[in-house]
Amino acid sequence: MSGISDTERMITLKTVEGTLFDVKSSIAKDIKTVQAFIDDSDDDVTSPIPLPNVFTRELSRILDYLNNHHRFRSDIEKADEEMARYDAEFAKSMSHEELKALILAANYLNVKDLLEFLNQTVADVIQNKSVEFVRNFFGIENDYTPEEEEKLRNENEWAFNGVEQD
Amino acid sequence: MAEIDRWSNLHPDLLYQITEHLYSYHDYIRLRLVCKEWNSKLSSIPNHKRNPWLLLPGTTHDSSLSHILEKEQIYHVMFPDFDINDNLIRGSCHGWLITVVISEGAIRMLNPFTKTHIDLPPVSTFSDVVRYHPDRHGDEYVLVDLYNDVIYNLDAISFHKYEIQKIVISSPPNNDDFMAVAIYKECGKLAVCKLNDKRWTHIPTEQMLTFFQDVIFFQDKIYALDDDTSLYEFDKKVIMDELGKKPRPQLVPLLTSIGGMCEAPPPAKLTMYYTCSMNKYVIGCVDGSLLMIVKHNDWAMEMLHVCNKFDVFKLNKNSKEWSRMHSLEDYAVMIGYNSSVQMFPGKSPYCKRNHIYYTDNQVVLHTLGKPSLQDMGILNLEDTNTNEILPNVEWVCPPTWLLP
Repeated sequence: MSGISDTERMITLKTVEGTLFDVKSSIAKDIKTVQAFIDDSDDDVTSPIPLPNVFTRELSRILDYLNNHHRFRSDIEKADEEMARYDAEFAKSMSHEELKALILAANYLNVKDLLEFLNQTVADVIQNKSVEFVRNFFGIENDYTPEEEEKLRNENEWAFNGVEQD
Repeated sequence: MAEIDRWSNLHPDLLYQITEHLYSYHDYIRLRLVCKEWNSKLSSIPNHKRNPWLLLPGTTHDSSLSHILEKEQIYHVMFPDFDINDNLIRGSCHGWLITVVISEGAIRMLNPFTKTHIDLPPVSTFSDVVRYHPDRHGDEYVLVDLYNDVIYNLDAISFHKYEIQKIVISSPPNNDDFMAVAIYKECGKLAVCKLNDKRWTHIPTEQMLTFFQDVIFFQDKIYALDDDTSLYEFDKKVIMDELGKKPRPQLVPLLTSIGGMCEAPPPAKLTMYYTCSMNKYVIGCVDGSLLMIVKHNDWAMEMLHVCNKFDVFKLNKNSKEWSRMHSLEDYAVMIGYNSSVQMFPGKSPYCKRNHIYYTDNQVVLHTLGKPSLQDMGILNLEDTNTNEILPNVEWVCPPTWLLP
């Protein structure tokens, strides 16, 4: 089996900073935006594919994630267990800023499984947290007047009982 | 700054995708409050993750339940003034329960989360009450039969127990256009009220012999389902305008029928008994269409050889015909005393697509004052397998779905 992957076609991706990454075509298939680019090209893609919205740091983590998941899937027996362990580690290793940047990148690149996983991680982070925490997390400014916010909170008072202290 | 803008102006699709992973409606509410942009992008009622809660009244100290249900799934709420022997649940909607307080005849909206309550006009203000003498013990009510104008007397307890079949509300009570609709009398009439109204206002129908079994608010309309499966539609705003007039009109305009059952379940109209042996529910769907669910009781299934406990129909508004459906597709429905609803379960572990979540709402059975077994469960339409819920427990106050 390994012989096939050795001769597998490679695709080159280019980040905002100009960093080049060589990616196996089987991995590129999971990156739908890249795959669409390849499918739309008449000839074999030989020059690097530019990714104007993706930074080196995020692309390297995304490729890391995809490579590992491909590796796990090749060993069906241990796949679920190892993947769960890897995902848990991956989630833990991300700062909130990295998580947010990865979501935007995964969304742009349309990597479905990874995006699902990252969105779940966000849901885990903001579970049972106050509105202020959620605003801080996303770095969003409160644009309600105190009166407006008070009214909305009163309408949904029960949603604010028992939130964790930030 | 660019990073911040990327998030507040996030594409709605990505925001929805995140909400699909949230654990509770509470988390969703707080996400909506982050900023105005998100508030407008996320609807007040999400189409997913609206986990239904099953309210089990009076089970706080009942150890018989704790080994059946997983502890972490039980959320205890104490209601200081809520006596399960004196309250009949007659509605559940927008996070509120609507009960009839038997001893007082009050109609009370309770919010189990905020523990607040608001009273709607009492039972004594329905149109069939000629006089109410609270001090004339055992003969408190003078009533009129709405069919033949016969006048009769009834004691307060019996009247309070039997007058109300179901109550639905249009929104949480703090909305300006809040409205409640009640199905009242044993013969299933409709009445409506706004917040702070002194009494309920009867809604007449073209036909005298209507027997409403279910009513919902849906897309600025009120839909009421008659016992013979005729569906009636009314514009909420028209009723609201009428209720706002001074002097208050005795009657609001007629309800008009928009659809009758054409493709009826084969034996539906054979006998009165059969009609009585089924409950009917009308449900508004996300795509704007209307569903009808017919639930057959055990008697009908056995005696009349009905195979399916539930029949599902969809209304074609153009042809005014109901056609039979064999699947709810990606949705689940919740029926019982609650406002009948459709839900999109997404990946929720507690709510599954193409399942019917049902509780019992047989008014007569629940008003005898004795604990009774309840016909509750979760039915998978795919294979018609049913998971009964606590089939051997007798309830004084029947469990009801609580919908956020």
